Order: sequence, then structure tokens, then C-alpha cells
Amino acid sequence: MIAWLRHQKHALTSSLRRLGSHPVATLLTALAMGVAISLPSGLYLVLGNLNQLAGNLPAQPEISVFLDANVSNAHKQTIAARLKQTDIAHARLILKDEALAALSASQDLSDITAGLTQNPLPDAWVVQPQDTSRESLARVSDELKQLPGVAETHLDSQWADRLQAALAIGHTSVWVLAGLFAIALLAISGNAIRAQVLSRRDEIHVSRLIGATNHYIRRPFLYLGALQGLLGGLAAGGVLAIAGWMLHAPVENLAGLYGSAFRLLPPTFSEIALVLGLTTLSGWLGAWISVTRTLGQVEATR
Amino acid sequence: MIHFSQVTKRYPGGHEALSGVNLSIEQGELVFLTGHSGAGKSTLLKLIAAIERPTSGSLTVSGQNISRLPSRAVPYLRRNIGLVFQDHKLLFDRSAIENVVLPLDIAGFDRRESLKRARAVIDKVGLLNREKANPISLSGGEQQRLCIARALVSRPALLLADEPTGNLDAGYAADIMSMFRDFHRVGTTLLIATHDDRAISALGGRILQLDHGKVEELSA
Repeated sequence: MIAWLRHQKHALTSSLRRLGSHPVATLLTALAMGVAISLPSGLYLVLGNLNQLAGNLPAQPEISVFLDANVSNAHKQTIAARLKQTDIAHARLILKDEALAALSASQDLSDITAGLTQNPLPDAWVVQPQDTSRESLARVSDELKQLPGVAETHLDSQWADRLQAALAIGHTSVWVLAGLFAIALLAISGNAIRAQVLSRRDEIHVSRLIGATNHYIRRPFLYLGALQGLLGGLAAGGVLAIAGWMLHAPVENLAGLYGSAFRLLPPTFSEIALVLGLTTLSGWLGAWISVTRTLGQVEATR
Repeated sequence: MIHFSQVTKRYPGGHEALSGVNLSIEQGELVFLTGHSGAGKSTLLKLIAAIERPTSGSLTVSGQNISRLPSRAVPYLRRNIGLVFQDHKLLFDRSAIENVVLPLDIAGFDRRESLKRARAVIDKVGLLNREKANPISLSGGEQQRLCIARALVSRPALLLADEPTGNLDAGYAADIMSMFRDFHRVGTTLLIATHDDRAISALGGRILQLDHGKVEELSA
């Protein structure tokens, strides 16, 4: 056990020394990995920010039920009773005066509303059905439209559906890209490790002759791959930090023009840790594949 | 300690390096292996260290059957064997003492203890003032002594040397051979392949002659 720990420490320090002794090569490999990793992680961050934008809007599909301008009280009560049934999750009545007040307050429409002599808005219910599937929404919407005193119903979910669908495509692309670049990462790491193995073939050969096990020979290369992956992840972090810093002011400017308080969200700590963990793992895996292949070749030539 | 029984080694391509060799070497013996180049001296040493495997016959080293030894057990066998090569096989990317420490690193010894032992054995081969030097800056004789230090640092019971004086002039060669005599005196089993007759006559010991893959015992 103690010998095992000593071997780990020895492999780690020798890998660190090797990285330090070739700073330019180390830097270039880390940079190549960093650029590769920054593409899927960058897309992930962009999607996260778009989600944040979409998150301010109703994610739950809603049906707006507009009443006739001169609807009778009896009809109002029938409608209210219908909306208490079990297939409706939530229903909220917005009186036309409230609606007008909200309209005047919220957007810069007070000029327009101030010019109105009477309230043109109808009373309305905002209804969330229990079952939010597309068919069910359409059915409930149609049924409510048949009620006496209802002028019109409107399904608010369409554009939210579209945005959600677009974001879902985005999320899928993140995983596809991440998969592709993970393969690129394996290749970059494997290639760097292959060069290392070949340049140390004498050491490998001599170590074998004086009793080195397979584990002893492979271990420094595996550490080297993992460390290189970690450096690649850090480089990706650097690339994204620079990109974020450059985008920060223009995004704030654009958001300001829309009167929105939207800001770029940085990645969370656990997201950073996850990316670093995955790149370290990819570096290790690439090294493992490469060492297995290259050691076979190196030893076959003896 | 080493027993060959009807051991044959045939290389791919049909060349038979050893043919039906029978041979026993007991613990503490000093044995010279002579014969013209290509007679199979190196092959015999490689079989003992499991660098090559016998084509047929049975070979046991320290009670382990080399023909059937699984490859994962080979490293542990080699840790009990010191190997000295004609071309030294030193690593030029590290200092002399780091070369000597390598077997102890591989065996997982404590670093400080390893350095202490390495320094002691470097002192024994007379290179203490060169321990920080890169081996490439050492003379041929010094490189060979460093190689011997590396072979001995893990205190193996068996030392195999393949033409240890092959590239050295007479003075250095006598030096190396007297070093071997000292190791023999402290109980190490030595098997030295050489065609250096002066060295053999100076040290005495058992002499085996290899000729076309056959072993013949010569009287000392």
C-alpha cells in the first residue's frame, strides 16, 4: 500500500516535471484542447442565458378567455363554475379595469391609454388546464369558446412551445458537439502521449529489464494525459472568460436598448468542476488508449 | 539456483541458438560462459532473465519455471536478478545516481532510503565523486561501473553479465573483474559471459563453453 502510494507520487511528480520541461509543447497542447472544449461549453453557456431569457415568460401554456363586452352576470357565473371543474389547474380573472391599469403601468403605453375615452378591453380569464398536452389544450380551449358570454379564446402556448423546441434542439446540439469534441480531445491527448512514449522508449526498455511492471511503465503517461486534460479544461475556461469579458459590454448595451435587466450569467462552480473533471477524464482515457497501442509497438521492435 | 534441462531455443526463421542444453548452477557459484560470438551466450542469459522464453525443455530459476512463468510475474523475477550489459543501457536524461536509484524506485522503496543505498553502492564501484554527473560524460569504464552499481543496488542473489568488459581496455577490464570477485566473495551468484581469457584466468571459477548451441564444461 505504501509502495503503491509512493509509485503514485513518483509518477505524478515525474509527469509534472515532464510537463514543465517542455513548456511550449505543453502550452500548445493545452491550447488546442482548450479551443476544442470551449466550443461546446460556450454553446452550453449561450443556451443557459437564452433559457434565463425564456424563464421570465410563462413556461406553462395558458388559455386566455375573453368575455363579451356586455356579458350577463348569469353567464359570468356559469363560466366561473365551469372553470372550477377538475380539468382546470388554475384560473384567474382579470377585470378590464385591472388590465387597463396594468397596460398603462407596464410598457410605455401610458400615452396611448391616456387618450382613451373608454376602456376597450374585455374582462378575461387566464386559465391553466390540468393536462397541458397539445390536444387537451385545444379541446379545453374549444369547449370554453362554446360557453355563452365568451367572445374568444386564445392559446398562449404556441410561441413558448416554439422557443422550448428551439432550446431543446440547442441542448441536443450541445451534447452532439460535446461528444465530437470529446473524441477530438482523446485524439489530441493520445497523440501527445504517443510522442512521449516514443521519446522515452529507452527508459521503458531499461525499466522493463530491471523489473518494472506494466502499471509502473504506464502510470506516468496516464498522469501526463490527465494533467494535460486538466490544463486543456483550464485553457477552455480562459478562452470563455475572455469571450465573456468581450461580450459583456455589447450585451448589456443591447439589453439596455430593450429596457431589460438581462445580463450574461457566468457558469456555476459545479459546471466548471464538471467540465474540468470531464476533460481530465478524457485526457486520461486518451493516454490510456495511446499508451496501450504505442507500448505494444515499442516493445515489438525490441 | 539455475537448472536447464534439455533446453532448446529456436528463433523465428529457424536459427537454433541453444540445442538441448543441460546445466546446473548452484547458489554462490562463479561461472564464466565462453565461446565465439553467436554461440548462444547472450541467448542463455536472456532465458535466465525471462527476456526470451525457451522453445522446449525446462528451465527453473530460483525455483520458478521460466517456461510457464506468467508475464505478470516476470518483473518480480527480474528484481532478484542484476543485469550488466555490454552497452551499459544507461539513461542519459538523468544523473548517475538517478540511474542507480531506478531499480529501487521501481520496487517502490522509500526515496531517502533509496538514495542512501544508491550512494553506498556508487561508492563501492568508486564513482562517488561523479554521482551528479550525466553518464554521457563518463568514460567507458566508468559507465560500465555505473551499470554494475545499478545491477547491484537492489542486492540481487544473482548477477548476469553479458560481455561486461567487451568494450574496455585491459586496465579497466581488470578493474571490473576484481569487482566481480569481491561480489562473489560476499555470496552473490555470478554468471559472466565473456571471451576475455585473461579475466577468466585471473579470477578462476567454473568455465562453460558454448559451441553451436551446445554446452561443454571446461576445467578451470
